[in-house]
Amino acid sequence: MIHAPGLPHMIEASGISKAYPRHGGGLLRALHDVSLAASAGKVIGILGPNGAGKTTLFRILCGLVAPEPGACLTIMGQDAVSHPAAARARCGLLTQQPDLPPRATPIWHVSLMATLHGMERLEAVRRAERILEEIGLGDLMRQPMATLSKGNRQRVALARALAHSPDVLLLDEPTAGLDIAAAAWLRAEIARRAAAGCAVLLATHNPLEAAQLCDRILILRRGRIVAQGTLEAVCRQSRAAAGLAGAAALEAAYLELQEEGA
Amino acid sequence: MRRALWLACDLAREGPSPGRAAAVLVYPALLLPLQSGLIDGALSGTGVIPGWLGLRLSMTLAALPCGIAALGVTLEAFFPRRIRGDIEPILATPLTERELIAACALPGWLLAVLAPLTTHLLALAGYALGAGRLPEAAASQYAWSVLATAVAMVWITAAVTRAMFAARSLGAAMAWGMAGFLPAAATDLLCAVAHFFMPQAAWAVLGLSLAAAVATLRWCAGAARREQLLLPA
Repeated sequence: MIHAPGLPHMIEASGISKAYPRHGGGLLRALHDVSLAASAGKVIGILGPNGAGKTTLFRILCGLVAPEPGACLTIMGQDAVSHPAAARARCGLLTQQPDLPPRATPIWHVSLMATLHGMERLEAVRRAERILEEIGLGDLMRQPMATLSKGNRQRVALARALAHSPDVLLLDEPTAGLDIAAAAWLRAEIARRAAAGCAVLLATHNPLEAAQLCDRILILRRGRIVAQGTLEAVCRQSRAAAGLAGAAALEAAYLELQEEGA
Repeated sequence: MRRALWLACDLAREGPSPGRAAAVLVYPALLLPLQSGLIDGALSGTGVIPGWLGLRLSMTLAALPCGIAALGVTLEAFFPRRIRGDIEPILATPLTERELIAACALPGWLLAVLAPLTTHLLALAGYALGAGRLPEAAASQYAWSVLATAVAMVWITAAVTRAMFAARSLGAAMAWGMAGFLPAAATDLLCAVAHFFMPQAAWAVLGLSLAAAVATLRWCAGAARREQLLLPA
């Protein structure tokens, strides 16, 4: 299990498994006996190819999908399997495809999310204004979403995830498809949120991003954890990473671990 | 249910614009009922259409376009977002499933209450224009027509609720929604047959159909939760 010694865990998950019915019969095993823990202020990187189970893991962590019986999942010490709504209240989710309603404005959409999290309407609007100012969308908060650039839409998606001041941030490939400047801004923002005390789980395909941001790394292959630990610990598990450092070592280790299961 | 209302407002923003909705609805919701009532009124006393049956059927049929409108509005507002996946962040809030379903079905429910009242008033106005007088027992006929149409709308809303969550494509959703018209039409037929033998029995048929429609609506809403259909396709 991944954790940072000495800090209280904001997420503790063990024995998380999930299978979906496959078209034409049988089961597709998306996750198998996954365990992890995340502490305040730490960024956990989750790497794996498409279909490795990253999105399913996030959906389970934020109470959107129920894990199979036998799983143990607590968010801020509260059982999230039997109280998924309480888990959703603690988590902020940035989804893989954060398509936003094109006619809505950022201020409407972010304040709606705060309202759905239980804030009074006036308080929700103030909160949305403050977050949108913080993330640099002060001038654009009343423009329809359809007129915003992809980078700015991703900022709105992040503001949406932050609308209720979550303790845990679940970011599913947040920089995918962004230009260099927007991706750099988003990475800095993730680091800032972690420094402010959020536990961040970051699913990514980018080894540079993982090496730069993550305190711990977890590599998934076909729903199973094949490596976990600090960047150095993960790279030590791989012969291919010998003599390399940072993102290059992580990339080599990742490729070797995925090839072993091919 | 405060959160459900806010979400319904959000979903409605993605539906047809007010101008487009008005353009689409002006004939089926305003002119068609008036026209039906006008024809019924003009033909009253000629023996072409038996008085009670003619007025009731034309009124019920006149209200059904509102059902189609409810289907269109609901599917356009909710279903495309669900297919694209951007409903997922909304599902990731502490919103209860009951609130989510209520928000998504609200347009249909509002139409189920409002459409019969306005449609049949227009039809009565048309009748009065065509015949120069109100039909016999206008109040009871109005009450019957409003109730009959409301029953049809509950059937359609149940089908639309099922369509929103179970269908995997827009075509399948439309097919689900249209299936809601079948029990509504069957109710009409049974009521007509029942009325032929014993007028009071038609009310009993309508009551039974309403109970069945409400039970079906509750089942369709519950099925979305039981079958874990609340996630993006």
